[in-house]
Amino acid sequence: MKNLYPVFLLIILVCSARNARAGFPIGKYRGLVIPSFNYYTSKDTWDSQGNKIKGKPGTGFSSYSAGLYFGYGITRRLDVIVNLTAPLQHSSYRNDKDSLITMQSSGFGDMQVGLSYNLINFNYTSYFSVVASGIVPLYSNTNKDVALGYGIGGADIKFTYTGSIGSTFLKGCYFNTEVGARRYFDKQGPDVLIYTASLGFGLNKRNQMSFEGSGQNSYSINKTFNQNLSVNRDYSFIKGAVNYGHTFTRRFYVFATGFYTIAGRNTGLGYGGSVQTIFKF
Amino acid sequence: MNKYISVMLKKYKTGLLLLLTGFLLMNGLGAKALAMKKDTTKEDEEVFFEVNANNKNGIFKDDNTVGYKVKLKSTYKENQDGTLTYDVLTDDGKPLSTNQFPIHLKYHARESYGLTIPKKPAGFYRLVVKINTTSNDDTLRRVFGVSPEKIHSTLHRPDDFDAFWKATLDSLKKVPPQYNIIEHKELSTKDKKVYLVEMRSYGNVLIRGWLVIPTFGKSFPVHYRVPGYGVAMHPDMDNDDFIAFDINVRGSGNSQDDMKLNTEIYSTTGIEDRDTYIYRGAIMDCIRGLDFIASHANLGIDTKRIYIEGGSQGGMLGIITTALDTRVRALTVQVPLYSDIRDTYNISASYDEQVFPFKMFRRYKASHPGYTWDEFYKVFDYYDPQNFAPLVKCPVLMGIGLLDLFCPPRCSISMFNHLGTDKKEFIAVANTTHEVNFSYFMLQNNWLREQLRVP
Repeated sequence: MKNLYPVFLLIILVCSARNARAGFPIGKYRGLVIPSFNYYTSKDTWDSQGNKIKGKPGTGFSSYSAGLYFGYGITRRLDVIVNLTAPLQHSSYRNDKDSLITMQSSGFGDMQVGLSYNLINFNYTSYFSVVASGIVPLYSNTNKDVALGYGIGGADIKFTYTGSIGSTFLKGCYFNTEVGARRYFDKQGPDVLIYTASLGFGLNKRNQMSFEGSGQNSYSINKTFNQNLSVNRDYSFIKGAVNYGHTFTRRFYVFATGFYTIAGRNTGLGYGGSVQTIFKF
Repeated sequence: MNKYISVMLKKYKTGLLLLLTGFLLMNGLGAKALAMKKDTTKEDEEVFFEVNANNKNGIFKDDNTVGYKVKLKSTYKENQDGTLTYDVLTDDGKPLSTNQFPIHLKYHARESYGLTIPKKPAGFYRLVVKINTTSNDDTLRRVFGVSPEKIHSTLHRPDDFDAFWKATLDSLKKVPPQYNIIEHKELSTKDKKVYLVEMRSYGNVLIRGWLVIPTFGKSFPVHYRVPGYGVAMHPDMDNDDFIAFDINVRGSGNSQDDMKLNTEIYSTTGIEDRDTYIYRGAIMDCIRGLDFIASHANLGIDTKRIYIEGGSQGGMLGIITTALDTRVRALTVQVPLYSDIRDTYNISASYDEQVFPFKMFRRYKASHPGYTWDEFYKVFDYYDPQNFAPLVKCPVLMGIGLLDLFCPPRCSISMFNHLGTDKKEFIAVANTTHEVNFSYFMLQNNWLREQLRVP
């Protein structure tokens, strides 16, 4: 029996590398390389009504994922971005006879390739941009016990508004807001609404912290709910995250993130974290 | 509890998101909104009057019309009837057209009028907008540019221009710099070390500069600032990604041991002889500063990434230093003084009241009977930045203020068009005088990082 956990993968995909860059243009002739390590685990679930369902003993899901984000400024407004993940996933569930079944799969996940274009800048302190990208699965689920994603191509578009705050009591803080939509090219979709808002501030010259709320609403004609999340394409979740960043050199930063799914529907109730190392050139 | 939160978040998440986004948007627009609010709360009776170019930077193309929007709001309780007049003049004050139409303003009503000015050939133009109403008269002046890239000026480069400057540079080389680097711990912080640098320059004159080295890193590009007119340079503590070196040229700031000059006489000191004119030494002081930077890689200076910045007189010094020395990798100048000095003179002749720099030159001429403008140009042609412009080969960013009377936009652009590099950009700020604005400096910061590959 195969298990699909696309929701977890989406959480990881969205998490990796975004904190470091937010929606600021990278800048012409400059670039970013962000290797990351991401972890997610879930034992309990949210059902179709948003009720918390306690997982059976021994059941659960966990994912260890390596990520690599690359961004390069082609012009002052236009960046090319590539995001790649390679997950290792464990899944444990109980079958009809209440036997514990444990499975594991690993490999390359989805690759995102896209362009970010700054539509408007406000005195070069805040930026309104559009990001369009394609999703290319680098795997086939036919030979995987725990599928590494939907296994189908997709595309997304999102609008970002990012900047630093120069007035009000939040002076010195920075913010990032994103709203977007993703479509997978399959009869059952899903179509996913993605949104994020974060607020960060510097603790001192080398350390910074940010708080983030984000979520996804995924819509599909397939609305069935199964304890085995593999078949669920119609779901939603809201996630809260805390990020901490440290500047080691002017070209090397590290961000650590912890997150928790605070609400959801047809999805896992879990938590995780990531470590992103940022190399600027 | 979790369920309650879940239900609440589900119910209101769209609203919350919109609220947060709206709040953040408001942050960006907050200042503007506040300004508008102030306008509407004033109790004094007056007519609020705004004139803004349809193109935010006040620059238009010669194959299109020029558009402005006039916004009026009256706080007079009685209706205001009258006229709006707008005159278009050349930038040296020759009238081109005048138009007038009636206006009618009710209490607290906002009125908006579009002004369309027919196509104009390349150049800069003055726009004078006047309102005359029952109880109020007011005038606003604007300047707009048309296809500035097509503006051309004639260089008046003396035949021995290159030889003169080569000989000057050779003379400087013969002066041992005798660098003396003195750490100023009382000015340093945990993030920056501050040094006073003393050196000998052209004519063995003692000059000084301030060197600030960030402690966070080992090798940095250099932000080399050359001074504006009468400006005393101090340690630049705002640069985290650059070593900052700010020089005081002879007779200014802390470089007055050998000569003390005030702003009333600085620009005319030695003006009657190209060999003794104050700027010959001042320019060499900037080159000597460059010598210091280029010879001190041991301080963490990335000697391959030196950029010069200067405003006003600093713009002139920056252009000339970059023209004479290929060690400069990038140049940014704002409102460069003395550019196209002959046109600066012509345009300044149309001013109601004389301003710097020709205020000083005219006063000098008036107080020196027999001294002629020909004699002035005979010397100044060796110092006009536009005569150096073709020698500038590195990327250049220039900012100008369209209402600048000291450095008329046409003159700055004429110089700009002579720059010997294709990697050049200029930013026009529509409603500033002898300065640029915050947005320009934000762009400059990005531009520098782009040119010097600073992350």
